[in-house]
Amino acid sequence: MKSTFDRLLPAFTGAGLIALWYAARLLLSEEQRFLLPPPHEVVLAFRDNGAAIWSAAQNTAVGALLGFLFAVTLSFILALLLSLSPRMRTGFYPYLMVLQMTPIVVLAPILILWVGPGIKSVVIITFLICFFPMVVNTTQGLISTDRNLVDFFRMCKATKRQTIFLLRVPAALPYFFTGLRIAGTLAPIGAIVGDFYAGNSAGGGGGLGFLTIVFSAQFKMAALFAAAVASCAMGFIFVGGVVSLSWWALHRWHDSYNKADT
Amino acid sequence: MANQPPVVSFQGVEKRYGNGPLILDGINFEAQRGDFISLIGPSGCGKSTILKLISALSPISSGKIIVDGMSPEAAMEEMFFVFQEPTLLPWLTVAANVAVPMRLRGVSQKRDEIVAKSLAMVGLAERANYYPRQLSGGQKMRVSIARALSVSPRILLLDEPFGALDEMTRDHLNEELLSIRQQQAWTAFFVTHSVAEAVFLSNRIFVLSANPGRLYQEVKVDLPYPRTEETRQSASYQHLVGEVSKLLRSVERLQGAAKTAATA
Repeated sequence: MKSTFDRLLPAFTGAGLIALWYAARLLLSEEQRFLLPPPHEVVLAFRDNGAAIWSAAQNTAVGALLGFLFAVTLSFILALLLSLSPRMRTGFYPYLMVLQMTPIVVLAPILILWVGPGIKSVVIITFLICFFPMVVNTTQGLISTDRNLVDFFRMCKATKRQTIFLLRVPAALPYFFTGLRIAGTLAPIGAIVGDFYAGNSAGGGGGLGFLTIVFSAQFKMAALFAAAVASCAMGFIFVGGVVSLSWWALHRWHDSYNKADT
Repeated sequence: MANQPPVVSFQGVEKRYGNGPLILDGINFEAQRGDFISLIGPSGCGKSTILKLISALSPISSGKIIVDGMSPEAAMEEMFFVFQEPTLLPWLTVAANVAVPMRLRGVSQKRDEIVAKSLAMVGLAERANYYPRQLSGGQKMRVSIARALSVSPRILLLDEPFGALDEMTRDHLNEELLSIRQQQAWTAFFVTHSVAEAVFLSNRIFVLSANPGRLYQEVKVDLPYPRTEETRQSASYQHLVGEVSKLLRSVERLQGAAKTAATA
């Protein structure tokens, strides 16, 4: 059982960091202080630029969600195909690695020239970032089914379809959710990076990535910090959603949620 | 009974995996309906392989196997395999796990009733809605047995099902298995490393030698059923345990001598 002090420790740490933030400002010269706006100014920046930040966050969220959903769907289909054929795995894996190893900042300008700036590019960039961890984890899960369970299904004269959907897919869920957690963390980052390069016409006003360019050009430091806080909050919401989904799907039976509840 | 055709017949069966060494060599036997046959022998003698050949989970290299007058593949629905591990689907409840073979084989009539009856047989009726991770090792094994019983197999293949359990639980489950057998008269093939378990359960024990696996000797166990804790205390039981243990030791000596000859 955690003590009250332990439970309040993150709040104490947060308060300490804010104090440190104020203190750090004092070390800067008068001219440099605008580089590090105090926390209360960041809060005020939210009030002053709330509508712009909210609209940008919505655009980014749409891009992140669409890219994420496309990545989840297509990676699941590809993983199913890869799991059925070792030959296909051998053929495809090097190119999946190529896709993963190519920095997204290099791909972004190419994509913009291909599909134009805006939400389409943002979604594709998010998709590319999320796709690889999903495919790799789901494929691994689908090919790691316990040999005895496969034999058990053979003994029961299960069809190939039954073996895939009643055995291999549910058995792969823990791996799938590991991939989903990684992709859930990457999706908002991907969307913001995408926005940064291609977001100037996304939904009419651009997303958070585009907004940071605008605030940066206007030297609105407090607003830049506010945009960073909003990006971070979006990341938390995404990851929180994925973690909740994972808990809902696994907590009743998977050992990772085992709390000796027998 | 002697006039009935054998339930399982092995005729000069050999098995090797790919181009590897011979695992089983010239296995011949006939199992009659209602036999409880234990397979015992040193590691690598092919005990589990014999079960996989009967169940068509693995093909033979040469020879012939007849199960209920058919090939093992054709007779698959007649039998059921209980693995060393409980092999339950962790995402399904106990009841749903027991229903899996019926679901896969397309049995929909009275499914719930059969599940309840099978669970009652192994004393787990009240755990129907539990998930496997909420059960002990012994309970999981019982669910695995209930799942096998749910399809009323004519032949039950048990691959060291109680090997990972403590002795008390194992003894208890052995007694339960025999009492269930009184209600469902299946022919059983039981792989074990425990001589005491083999003598307690079986009416026939096949002692196998290894490298390659051969049928070294058959021991008939003429202890009357039902068998209980008193059976374990009886002199004839103790005598048979001693006899089978002696046979196992001679198999090991034989193996040791063969190894020395090979290295010399």
